[in-house]
Amino acid sequence: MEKTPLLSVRNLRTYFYTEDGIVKAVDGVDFDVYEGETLGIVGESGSGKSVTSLSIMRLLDPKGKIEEGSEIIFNGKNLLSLSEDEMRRIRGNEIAMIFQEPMVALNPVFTIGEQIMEAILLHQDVDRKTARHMAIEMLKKVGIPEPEKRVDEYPHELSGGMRQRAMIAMALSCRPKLLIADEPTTALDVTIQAQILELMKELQKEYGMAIILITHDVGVIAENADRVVVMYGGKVMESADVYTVFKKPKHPYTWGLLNAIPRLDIEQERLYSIPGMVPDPLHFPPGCRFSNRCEFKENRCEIEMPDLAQVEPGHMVRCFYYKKVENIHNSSKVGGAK
Amino acid sequence: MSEPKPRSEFRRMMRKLLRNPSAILGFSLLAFFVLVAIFAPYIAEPVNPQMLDENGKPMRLDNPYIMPVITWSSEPIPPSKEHPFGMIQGRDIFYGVVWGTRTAFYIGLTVTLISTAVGIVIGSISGYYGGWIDEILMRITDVFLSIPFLLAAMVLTTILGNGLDKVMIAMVVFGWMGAARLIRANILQVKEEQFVLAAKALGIKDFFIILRHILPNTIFPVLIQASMRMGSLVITAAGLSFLGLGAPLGYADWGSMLNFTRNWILGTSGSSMTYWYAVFYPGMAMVLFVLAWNLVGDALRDVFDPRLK
Amino acid sequence: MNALQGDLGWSQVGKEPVLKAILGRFPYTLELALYALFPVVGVGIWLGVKAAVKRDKFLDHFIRIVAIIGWSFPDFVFGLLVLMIFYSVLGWFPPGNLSLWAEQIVKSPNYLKVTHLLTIDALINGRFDIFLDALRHIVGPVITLSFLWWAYLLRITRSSMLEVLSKEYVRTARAKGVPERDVIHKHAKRNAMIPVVTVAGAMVIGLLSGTVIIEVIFNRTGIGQLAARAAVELDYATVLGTTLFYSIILVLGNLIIDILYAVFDPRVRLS
Ligand SMILES: Nc1ncnc2c1ncn2[C@@H]1O[C@H](COP(=O)(O)OP(=O)(O)O)[C@@H](O)[C@H]1O
Ligand code: SF4
Ligand SMILES: [Mg+2]
Repeated sequence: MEKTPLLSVRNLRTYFYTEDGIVKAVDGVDFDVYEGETLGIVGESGSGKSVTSLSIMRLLDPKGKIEEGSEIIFNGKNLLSLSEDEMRRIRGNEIAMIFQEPMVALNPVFTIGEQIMEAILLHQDVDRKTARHMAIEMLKKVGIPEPEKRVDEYPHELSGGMRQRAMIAMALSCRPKLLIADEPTTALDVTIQAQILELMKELQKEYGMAIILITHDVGVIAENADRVVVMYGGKVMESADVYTVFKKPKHPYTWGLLNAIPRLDIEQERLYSIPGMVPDPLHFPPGCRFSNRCEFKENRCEIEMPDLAQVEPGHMVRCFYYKKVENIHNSSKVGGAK
Repeated sequence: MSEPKPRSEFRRMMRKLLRNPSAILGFSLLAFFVLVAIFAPYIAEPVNPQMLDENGKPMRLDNPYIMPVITWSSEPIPPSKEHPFGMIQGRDIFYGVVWGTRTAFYIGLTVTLISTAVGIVIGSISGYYGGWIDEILMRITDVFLSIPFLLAAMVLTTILGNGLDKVMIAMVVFGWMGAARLIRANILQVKEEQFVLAAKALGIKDFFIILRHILPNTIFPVLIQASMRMGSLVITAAGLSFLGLGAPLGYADWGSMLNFTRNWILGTSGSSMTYWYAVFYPGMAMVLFVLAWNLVGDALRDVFDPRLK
Repeated sequence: MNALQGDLGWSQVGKEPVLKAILGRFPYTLELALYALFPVVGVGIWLGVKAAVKRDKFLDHFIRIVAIIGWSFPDFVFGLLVLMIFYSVLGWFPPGNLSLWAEQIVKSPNYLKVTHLLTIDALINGRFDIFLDALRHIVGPVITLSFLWWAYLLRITRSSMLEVLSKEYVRTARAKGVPERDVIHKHAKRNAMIPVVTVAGAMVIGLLSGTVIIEVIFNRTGIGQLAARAAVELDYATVLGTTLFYSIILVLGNLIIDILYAVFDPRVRLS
């Protein structure tokens, strides 16, 4: 594990300066991504996953600022100190991104081909004819039938799954070292979800790229990620390899996320879900950000914020009382593994 | 993320409104015009200095909206101490500008109120009954929307005859469509949200229930729309007066005062700003009046309905 | 029935059949509207895009304030000011269609009338002096007519542009590494023009109605002036005839807009 990471995010803090106050959407996030691996970032909606990924791409709204002291090291360069033009040459070329809604992520007034060719022409020294040829090749690669015909079609002429394939073709057209996929399958049917994830895995193997797979769906992470970062309230709550996170989670939040079994203490048909909602960043509870929903909290939790601490090699947890969760594993098999 | 309470939400919007410089400018201008309209009899006394009563005092006018002729020279006379805005066609421009404020409010508010009311009725019927009634009413709305407003008003005034009241009728007839569409859309939405099940068997009581549900939600968009329209309504009315179709000659109305001016400007060339005051004062009064409404409407829209941006 | 056969009755104001009166005057109105269209579309869209890109910055506020002031100017007040400044004071842009000398030449039988548009015909006849004279007469009305409508178009463009800029495909473009200039002028603007095209109908109505008052102010003998005079004199046949004519133009205008719409939006093109 002593390789140097492809991407290291250190103490990333991204704040939005809004009329209602400072929204600390991401407030101290650390993780590494190694070449060729898939890092899953999981957390309920609103926990700061998308803002993290947009911060890496430096594509935040004008109101959003990445605070001093944050570091995003990619391939030895601190992305935060690059000029806008240097950053632009990395986007779509070395780091590519695909988004949640293939319905709205493609420009409706340009053909699929034009949009893929644009990325190729921007970053590679080829003429239009070659670019078109490459675009068709890419479409073939992502499993779009009749690519010679589809290349001249508009996004609205494709189904949702086909559009997401086209998005992937566009993102991978320049063979990026890192692909950030922000909820790439959330908007798709279950069967198509599996196909798209399978496709991403295949292409990852072929191209040897790293993937950051962002989702709120624990199942997707379990099947696709090598290592996992659990985010909540703009902070990393727990991170470890996928096996550890699913078999031996130590953070109450992770435990809650995984705990999709009927509760025994209440007569209830529905699956267990963590009580309450993700607090909005303007109204975080004092102390630990999970304290208003945590079943294990003590007085200390409402006063002090725990640090992200290493509890065993490669396993980081941000909780004072993670031992309580450990004890549950030992005493019963109620929580955790599925 | 709890639901914001309506009251504090309202206060938050008011605060936002008061922080908006153009809103403040708009409301101040509007307040100024309201004051001028209310105190018109004190600012510009409705008397005719040419005609004295038995006590030797200038006689009060029967109708203060007919500007008194106080000198028989029809050529514009530059501003002086007694007539600070100058005179045109023998009439005091200051007097006309002050009383014209009342005319502008009168036309604008009346037409807006009536046409909005008509729009609400038509929109409610259309949205409430749906089906072919809705179909027909909306087709009619489309047709009315596609006729150039000024021309339609011209046609109607040639049928009805010239005059301020005829112009106002024409403006109501061709001015209800916006409110109708807005109300209809809102009713459809509410129907879908809450009354889907009951929609089949709605009695007259339900009609009022729908209205009660809708009006609080719709009142702001309707108000915003109305205030945005005030400006263009006043412009159109003045334009018709300017063409000689609206207010009669000599009426205290900004548009017809500018009608006087036009001939004098056409008559001069390459020399000077001889008659500037005859354009400037009535013209500025109009511009500021319309600007006030547009600023207010714009600010209201920004604050209360960001979707409409 | 008669109207369907092109007989719109006798125009008291024009002292000729209504249809003849309208057709004879239409070129003057058309020329005015055409000349006004370019500054309106060009300036309105350009500034609208600028304001949206600089949202809430000084430039945005400044453009918006100028626009709302412009929008608040009644056309006849603005027209009178233009007339006063550029004619009474400076003597540059006189009212009317043409100067007397030019009028005489234009009326002479061997002066070619191809388009019936004064400026174009002057060029066709190789009379650059008449071209300049016609231009001098049309500048005032054009300024007045366009001043109102660029503000309208600016507002529509700005809000449409703001909406498009918040769309996900704009972010996709940026994520591809597309330079900001292309993000705005290629990806965003093409989409932002779609709603702008839909309001073009309202704009055509506005431009046409605008010609009525403006032709009266600048003494331009187009159909607007004809309609205004007829309305004052309660010449019913002429008013109705001109309104009918305007409505026909509107229908044609909407047809063109529908075609434009399909050009801008591939989703429409298909169905
Ligand atoms: N442009 C923005 N302005 C203000 N707040 C924002 C903005 N974008 C995101 N946020 C806030 O940041 C928090 C995290 O959002 P996000 O990263 O989108 O969550 P996730 O992707 O995990 O669902 C949310 O509370 C959201 O309200
Ligand atoms: S620190 Fe306390 S509140 Fe936070 S997760 Fe641990 S036990 Fe729960
Ligand atoms: Mg997200």
